[in-house]
Amino acid sequence: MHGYWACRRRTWIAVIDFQHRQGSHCESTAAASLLAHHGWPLSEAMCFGLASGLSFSYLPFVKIYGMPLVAYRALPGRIIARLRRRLKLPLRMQQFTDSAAGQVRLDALLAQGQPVGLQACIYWLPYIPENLRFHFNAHNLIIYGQQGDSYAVSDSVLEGTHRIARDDLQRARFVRGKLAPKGRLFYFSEDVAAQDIRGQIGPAIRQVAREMLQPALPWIGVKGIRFLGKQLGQLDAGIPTRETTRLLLHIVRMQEVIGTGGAGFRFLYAAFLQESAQFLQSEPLAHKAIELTAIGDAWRQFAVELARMAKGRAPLSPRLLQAAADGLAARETEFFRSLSALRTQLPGG
Amino acid sequence: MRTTDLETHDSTLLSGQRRVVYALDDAGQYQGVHSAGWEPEEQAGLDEVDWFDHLRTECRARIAQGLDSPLRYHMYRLRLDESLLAEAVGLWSWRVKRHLGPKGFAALSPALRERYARVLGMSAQDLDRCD
Repeated sequence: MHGYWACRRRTWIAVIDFQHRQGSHCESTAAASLLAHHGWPLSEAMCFGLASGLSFSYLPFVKIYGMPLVAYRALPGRIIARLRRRLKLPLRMQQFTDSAAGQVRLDALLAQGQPVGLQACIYWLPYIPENLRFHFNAHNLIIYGQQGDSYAVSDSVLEGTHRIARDDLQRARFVRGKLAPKGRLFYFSEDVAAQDIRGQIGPAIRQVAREMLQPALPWIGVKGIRFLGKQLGQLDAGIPTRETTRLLLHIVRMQEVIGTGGAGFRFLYAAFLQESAQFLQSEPLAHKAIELTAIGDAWRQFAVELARMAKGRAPLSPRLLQAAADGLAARETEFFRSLSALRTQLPGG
Repeated sequence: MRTTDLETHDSTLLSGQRRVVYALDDAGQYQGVHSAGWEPEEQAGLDEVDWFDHLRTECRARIAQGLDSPLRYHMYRLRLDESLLAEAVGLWSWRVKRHLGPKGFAALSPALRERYARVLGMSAQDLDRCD
């Protein structure tokens, strides 16, 4: 409370000296830039990898905008939560039932000089380019300053920083619906010293390999990729209907448009493997990064095919799409098997 | 992907912004690099925008014929669908579905109109207008 009243007494609040970073994925970059602010500069790829962010899920019964859920990564919120647990970070998270309380808490933290991470609905953020504004409730951003009714925002999707009005921010933080943010905020309660992460890389890889190969549910991991292929194989050949076009482009959107760093996070994860290989001086691990890059390129080719068929530049061939998905599933199966075997030779693995 | 594979056309989707993707540079090292967009990415992103524009235009025509309600128009204008709108206002979808028809919309109570207006970020009077 002290900080809040301090901020009410003074009419201005200094903007915190905060280094904005742009990244490909909002959640891992938000974690990385807060962590850097508190004394431990880790790359986005390292945060993503240590949080075991890579995954695949195809859940046809969960609909977003009438389209099945296709995700190439762990559930929203998991990345920060897993990173906190793995690195034992002093990261505090809070949600609010009352929107006024959520605002008071944010102001109080800012008054203490804390940059604060927030979960918000991307549609209601006016500074986001119009074409990227859809109702996705689990976008992450960082507020690092306040001046009256205006907040300074560092949003990792964008090249520079922006300002947002209090009412707009409140609306984005307290929307209702699936993955509702409930004003969720996160911040570091103290500064962190850089740790030795060599022992954490093995277990983080293990978690991803296990999720991809032996998922708890059949719609996740390589089985999920096969399942997606099977459903694509059941489409009607020929000229796609408007609904089919939308489905095909929806998959491309989930893979390439929504901040995945390309190929549905495969390149981001390959960057993590490469950085890890340098930490551990492991030649075989460095080789794995290159292998995953080739798989990522195949995912990109898959996106090209989907878009061509959706746009009518190539005849819609369900058989080809299914074969492509099966091929990707087979390659990822082999990749994660060998990665998992390699992991046992790493420290902590 | 290699940094040399990046396309350099200006993206309509990103309105001139550039985003970060990961690619291998000439030395075989991963770098986060700026991308101005990529054709499939561009097509997929803009298709979703077009989808809502199309729904909106279609809806406006139906309103003119008295077949649809302005509430539905505003729903599409804000890129919402029935289930998202229902979750956002906190009503059962079957009720929302009814309110989206011209009859159900006309019968809305002032309190419910207020609730819809708040969720849609507009005033209750403006609910009847669609432009």
